[in-house]
Amino acid sequence: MPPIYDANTVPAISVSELSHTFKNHQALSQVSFAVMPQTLHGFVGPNGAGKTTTLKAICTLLKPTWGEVQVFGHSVRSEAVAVRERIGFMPDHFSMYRQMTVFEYLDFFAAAYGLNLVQRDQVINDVLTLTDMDGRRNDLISGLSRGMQQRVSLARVLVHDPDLLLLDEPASGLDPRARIELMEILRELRRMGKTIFISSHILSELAELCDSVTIIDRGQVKFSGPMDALLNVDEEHPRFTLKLSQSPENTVDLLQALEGVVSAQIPEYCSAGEFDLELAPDKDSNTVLMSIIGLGFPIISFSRHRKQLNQAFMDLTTRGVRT
Amino acid sequence: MINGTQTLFNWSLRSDSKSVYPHIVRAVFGGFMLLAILAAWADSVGGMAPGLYFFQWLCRLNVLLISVSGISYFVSAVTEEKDSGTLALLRLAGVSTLAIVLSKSTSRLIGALMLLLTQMPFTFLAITLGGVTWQQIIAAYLALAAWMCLVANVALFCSVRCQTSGRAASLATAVLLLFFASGPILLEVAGLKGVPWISPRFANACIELHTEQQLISIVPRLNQIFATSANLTLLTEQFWRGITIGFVMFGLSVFLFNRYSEPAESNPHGRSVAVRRFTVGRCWKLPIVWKDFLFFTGGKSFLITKTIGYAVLISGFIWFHKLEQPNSPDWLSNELTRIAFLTVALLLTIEMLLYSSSSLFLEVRESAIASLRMLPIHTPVILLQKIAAGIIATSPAILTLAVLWIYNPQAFLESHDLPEMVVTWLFAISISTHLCVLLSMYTRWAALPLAILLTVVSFPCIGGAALGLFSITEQAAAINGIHIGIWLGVAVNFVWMWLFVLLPIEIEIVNRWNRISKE
Repeated sequence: MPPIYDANTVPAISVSELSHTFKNHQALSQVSFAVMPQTLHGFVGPNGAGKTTTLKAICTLLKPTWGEVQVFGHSVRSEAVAVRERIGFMPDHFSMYRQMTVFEYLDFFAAAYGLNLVQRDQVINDVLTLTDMDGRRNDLISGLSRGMQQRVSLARVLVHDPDLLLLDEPASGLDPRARIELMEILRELRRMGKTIFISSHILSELAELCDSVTIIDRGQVKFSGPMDALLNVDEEHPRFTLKLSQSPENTVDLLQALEGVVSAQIPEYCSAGEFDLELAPDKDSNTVLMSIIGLGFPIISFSRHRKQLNQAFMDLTTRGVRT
Repeated sequence: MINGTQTLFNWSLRSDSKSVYPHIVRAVFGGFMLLAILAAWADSVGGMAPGLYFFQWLCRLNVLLISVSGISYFVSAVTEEKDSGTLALLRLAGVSTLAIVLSKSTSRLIGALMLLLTQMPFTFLAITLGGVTWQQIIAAYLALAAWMCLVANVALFCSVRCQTSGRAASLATAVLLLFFASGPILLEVAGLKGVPWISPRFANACIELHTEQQLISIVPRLNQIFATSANLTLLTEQFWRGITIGFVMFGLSVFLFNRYSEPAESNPHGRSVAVRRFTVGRCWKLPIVWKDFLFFTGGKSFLITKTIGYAVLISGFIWFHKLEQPNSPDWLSNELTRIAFLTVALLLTIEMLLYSSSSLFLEVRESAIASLRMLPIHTPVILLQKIAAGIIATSPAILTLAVLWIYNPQAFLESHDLPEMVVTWLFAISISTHLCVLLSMYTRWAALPLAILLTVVSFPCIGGAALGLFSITEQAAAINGIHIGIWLGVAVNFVWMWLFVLLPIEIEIVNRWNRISKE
């Protein structure tokens, strides 16, 4: 498990040896991981793995039975108020006052964080613009779709300008368009320098979005580290995928004959013009690419073979429901 | 239809029997009856008919429980499906309207009958104790059964008519209060027959309505049963009227079910922005006060409505006084001032109990406790802000009481039992509102009736201790030459009650709040 902890930087979240028990049920067992500032960290696990319990421990709602959790160097046990000032927590279920309008809802939370009228106006305009809800500011929350309510919920989390966002299943129940738009907002927030800790089941989107990931199963961390470290395959012969816009019939033979290529084949269930190449371990991939260009093939892409996050997830987690 | 009814009935009965609340009510009821036995035993020392005394206790307890069940237990029969959004699923499953209404109400009726069944051994005890006949017992239970049929079906109708359990409970409470209050009000109005302003036909209509109300009400019927031991008619008009009204309300519930089962359409734009700017406006510096006042207690428009309502009420008393004494230079007589004061105090009590039962419950229902706990505001401060919102909401009633006091303080000072009444009211309201708040985080709509029941049960114990402490303080003050012994007694009692009764409840409220936020 490659560490991502950088000794010179205070991690945004540092969880060490975290354990928690509900009556006779061990929800978390010695969970340890770290999230660096200004990164987007995915938190993945099957249902009942302990994701929400971990999130609640990080956001000070739950006092863990054992272990230490720090947010920007502040302990969640002894410095809960300092932690709360720097985090924004969006739970997995909507907690909204449905009879309020969007503006009133945000105004309430901004006032609760001690912002004055001028600051409130400014910040509400900003978060509504960011979440693209400016046109719905006077709508009742009860009349909004689920996707819009999710945006309002995200806007609420942002009103006090927290450094760390903790999002529990933010994309659950959203249609594909709303999901994609939500992911865009999260990318924008990362560009703005926020650290985002996101728990989600939608693995394909997490793989594209996240810098690092933690996989948890049955209360135990199975992997924690950069996304690349999880998805890159450590093999004897590095595998690459080559995509061509046009390929003559003898392409496989031509590729196989290149120096440094151990094998070339057409993978199963692939689109036309796609080839799998296995290179010799001591061969530089750039040299092989130059040789392919030399053959005159119209290349679309040439990339290192990566596991899908789904596959990594299935490999690391256990089948069946936790009892 | 039979299959659907049977399945739904079985399911309702099973979920009801698994629920803790009915079992708690039965246990509380058992405790009540033990108290009644003790009271009867104490009474038998004086040579009275202890069986009749005990049976009277039992029947009054039944009336209270049936009425309370109406506004809590029966009233959620259909609205619990609306609250959880499962009504449409039942319709999709092909369960007919009649099947839904019949099964949901019958399972609750059986639950209530279980409560009556627990009394059987105690009823035999009443006969053993003496002073009560079999006829009286049968007549009383028939009268109670008719009353239960009436209350359950009125509550069922409220449950069908309203969109949420809260609204249904409010409607059922209003109907019951209006029913009980209409008796004395109609009698008072009928008493103005000789006044030139009142038409004799109107006064006669009031008398007739009062007679009809008395023929339906359980209270006069029970008094009649307790007073008559020989030649008692078992099935009187009260029984037939109760059953008939019950069936009519059931029929109406089935008939109007479809009309009111559709979810209320939400207006995405709410009221107009200009109106909303006035009625809601910007959030105050104390955000929880703002939120609770505007969104949980009805807000500015309801505050204005209540202010007008109290003004109309006092104007009514003034009008009544002018009718009775046209030449009086005063606006209100001493007696009417006291009656007006007590009426407003009663309304204030109801308002306080309703706010205390809904304030935290609505946070639980909206799943908002975790979000509130994440705010940089401590839990006790949040709870204090909620109390402040309640005070603003009840300010019309408080102001009306203050105006009445300032207008005629002599009316209160000449009443010797007023200080005791005020202190007793403060004690009772403190305990019941605290219990309401606590219980509202455990049960759905049962917090209010349960809190009233617990206050009634616990108050004799707490009140007894308070009176003893009051007497000791007063005597100790007198021995030491302190003249403000009464107020010292009151102060000592309040400190004592806060320390040993209210503080533990307050601590439990905060603990429960924190526990819910983790769920």
